[in-house]
Amino acid sequence: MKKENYEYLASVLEKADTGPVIEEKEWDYQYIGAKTKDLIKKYDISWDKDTYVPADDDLADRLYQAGWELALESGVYCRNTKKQMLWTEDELKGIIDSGPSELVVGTGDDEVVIRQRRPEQPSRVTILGGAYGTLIEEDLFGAMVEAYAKEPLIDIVEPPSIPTAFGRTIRIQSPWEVMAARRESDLALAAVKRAGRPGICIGAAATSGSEIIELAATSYNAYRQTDWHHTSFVSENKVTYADLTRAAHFYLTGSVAHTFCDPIYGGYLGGKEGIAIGCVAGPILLRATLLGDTVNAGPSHAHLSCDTHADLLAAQALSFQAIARNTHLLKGIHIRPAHGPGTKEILYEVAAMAIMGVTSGVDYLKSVQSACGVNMGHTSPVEARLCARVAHASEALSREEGNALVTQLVNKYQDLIPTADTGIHFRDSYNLETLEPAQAWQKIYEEVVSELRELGLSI
Amino acid sequence: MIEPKVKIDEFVNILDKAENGPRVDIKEWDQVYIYQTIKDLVEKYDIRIDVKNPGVPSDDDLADRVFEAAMDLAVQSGVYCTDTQRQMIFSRDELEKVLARVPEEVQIGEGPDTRVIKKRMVDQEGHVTIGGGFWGVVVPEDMLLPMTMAYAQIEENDFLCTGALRTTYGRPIRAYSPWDTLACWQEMRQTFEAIDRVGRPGMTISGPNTSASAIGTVTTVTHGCLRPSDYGSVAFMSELKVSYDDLIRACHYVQTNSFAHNFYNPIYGGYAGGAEGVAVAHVAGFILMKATLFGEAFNAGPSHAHMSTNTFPPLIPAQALAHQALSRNTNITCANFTRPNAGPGEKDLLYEIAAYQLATVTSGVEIATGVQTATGRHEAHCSPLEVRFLIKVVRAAEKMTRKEADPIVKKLIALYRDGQKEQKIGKPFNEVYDLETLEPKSEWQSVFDEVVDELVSLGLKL
Repeated sequence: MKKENYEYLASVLEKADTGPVIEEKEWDYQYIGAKTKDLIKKYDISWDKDTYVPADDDLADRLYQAGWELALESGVYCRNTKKQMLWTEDELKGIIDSGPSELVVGTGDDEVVIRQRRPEQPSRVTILGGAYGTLIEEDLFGAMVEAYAKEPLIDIVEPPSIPTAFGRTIRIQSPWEVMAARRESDLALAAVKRAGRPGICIGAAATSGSEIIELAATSYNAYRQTDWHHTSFVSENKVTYADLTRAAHFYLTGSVAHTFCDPIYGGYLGGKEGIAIGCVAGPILLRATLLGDTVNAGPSHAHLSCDTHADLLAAQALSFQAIARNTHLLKGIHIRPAHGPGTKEILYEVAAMAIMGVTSGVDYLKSVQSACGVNMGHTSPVEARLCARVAHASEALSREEGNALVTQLVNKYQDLIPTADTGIHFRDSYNLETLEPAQAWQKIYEEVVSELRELGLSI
Repeated sequence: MIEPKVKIDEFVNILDKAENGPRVDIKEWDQVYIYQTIKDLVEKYDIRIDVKNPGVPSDDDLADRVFEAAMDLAVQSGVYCTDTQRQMIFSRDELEKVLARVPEEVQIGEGPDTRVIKKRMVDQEGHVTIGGGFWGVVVPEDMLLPMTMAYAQIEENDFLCTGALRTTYGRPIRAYSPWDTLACWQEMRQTFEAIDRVGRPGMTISGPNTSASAIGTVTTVTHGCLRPSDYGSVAFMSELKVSYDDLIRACHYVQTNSFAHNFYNPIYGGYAGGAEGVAVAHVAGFILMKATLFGEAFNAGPSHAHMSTNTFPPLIPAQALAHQALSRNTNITCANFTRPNAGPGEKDLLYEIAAYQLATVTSGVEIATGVQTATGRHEAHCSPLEVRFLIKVVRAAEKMTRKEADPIVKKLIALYRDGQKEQKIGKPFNEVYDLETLEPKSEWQSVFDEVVDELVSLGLKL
């Protein structure tokens, strides 16, 4: 992928070095908190609390205007330099327009094209399946990646993270990060090969660390330019030198860059209306700052962490609609349920998010950061499989139809979120020999599929 | 499938040493593990260098004693990891195994620019590989491309070391920031453009030199940039210290199966002591870098504590002796590193280069690198003409013995030694080269021709 606007890249770094100096507290309270509150009022951002998939195009467009204004007037905060990074309207429009509306990822027979979709557009969504950085024991990493890659409906694999490399602790900003980068990529590439999909696009690098791990992992004998390379904001709309270094590396190597942010519900953005604005401004600024080929905002509940909470559904739906109706940015939904593998509720949460996202026009689904991704080994390919099936079944649905289904699903899980069952470990949910779901988990999956059919989904 | 250059368990073992070795205070390292140990070993092995009348030693027994002293230093002290404050200890058996596995030849480059570097011996005729370039001298952005082309178009220059950019896209470069990534890529892109333009796309490159952090290496040894066949760099700090940044670079070269050269600059007048101590540290450094950083080629460019240059007279025999010790006792691929005191346009620069090359080539080095002109500290103060001169001297020295070189070296040192008291930094590239033709201006060319004549009159067959 040719990426050669070096002057723009230099101008972004210059903004981080020469913008106005601002204290971080002022950023949080004024540039995010107060500004968002004003924008909610100015653009009359509100909706019926019992609607989870709104179908009000005018509201979606007003939301886009509010998100645009937040992006333009507040910009991004660089934590290393304490500088505000600002774009002119022309700069921002130019960089948004320069983003791809379709994107080839993976290689050979495993290549897939992510294409832009609009709300209610009956076209295929791309499915990412994986553990999204959830930790897994080093010796189980390969098996888990292989199990996801074996799922035929998964187009892109997102690996888990390893807590150790060669049995040793991965010390941040040390050579152990380089060791971990290679260990992860070696294991992941071998796993997808075993699954018969050597060219499949892989999310890289999943193991947490500083910028060193991503840089080292995007090189010879490791992850390829056609893989899915991550860099992100810190909430809200903050960036670090490490993020900018990752972005520069992905740009200069011509690698696919995926950029994300996680607006916090109950944080400086406020409630659901503020989150909706944050979920529009964030992707605009991700493209402008980190040059993402794909963008996504995966909001997080301040205490519960999940993004399947009822209050967050319409906020996300509206933000997808706003972006889809006003830009060609490739945007996705990140599914972070409260429940874990082996429970029915995780499947309800996943289904609700998939229906809401697909009918609202997302181009790809990131599934599934089970049990909020914080319990080692608590993810499994079954929930990604369900996500893929529900997503494809939702491609032909209207937002109203989607809303009716989502409402029924939310009623099944919402009250259980605060005490969510984090489920079972991969070694218990899967047969490690066959890499197929254990009988009990398969049975639950089939029961929920039947329930979804009864609700009216053609799955 | 290309065989990995290092088994991963071996590298893990090195990182374990950096994490788990005995904790040592850095002052104790410098004063006891380096200073006192080297002093004792110099005495124990009766290592003496005639620093009053420096030339090219040719005492094989002395060279072998330097090697034994260095092995003792490597075993007794090992390496100090500055990030963990741990002593990385190697047994004699471990080090002997490391040395036993060193191949007699290594390869760099691609296509017609592939070069096989073969082991040479002291006093033995044999081809020396040339690595000519800026060696990190800082240059303005608009000068990088023409200067690089001027170095790359020297036919006998086997590989090219890059310069460092002062700015990137007109902006200052902040270390340990994303600017490192952007600047190093700009350096590399311009270098690739230069070698393409002169018709040598497979030419080996040594870089990047713009970044001080490990980011510069990790970001450029990757898809679409530096190739595994290039001449990567990772180093020890003085004396026998390694940082996480160095280990990150080394690890990345190992993981990408890339060629790497390791370097180390013992400080004359520092904890290593005088000429004898520098010779011992130089040899120990090569052995320990092979064990720790897994390079394929090695250079030591000892540094005078105040002047920085390594052509300071007592350092000439010290380096010659160290190279003899390594050449006689190991297969390690040794490079010299030319860091003269004087700059472009100055006769002294050429005298320094000639003395240094005669001393080290006859002492068995496989690679001649340079020129870090005017000690590399003055912007754009370097030119390809001194590399051309270096090549001429090296070709003559390849056919000489230490004893033949010794009197010439002594005369050359006499010509420049007093001039080193006040650094003659000469002129920047754009004042000694024609930027259109990329050829030296007549004034600088005349100086070159005069010095060649002087060397011929001293008995050198140029």
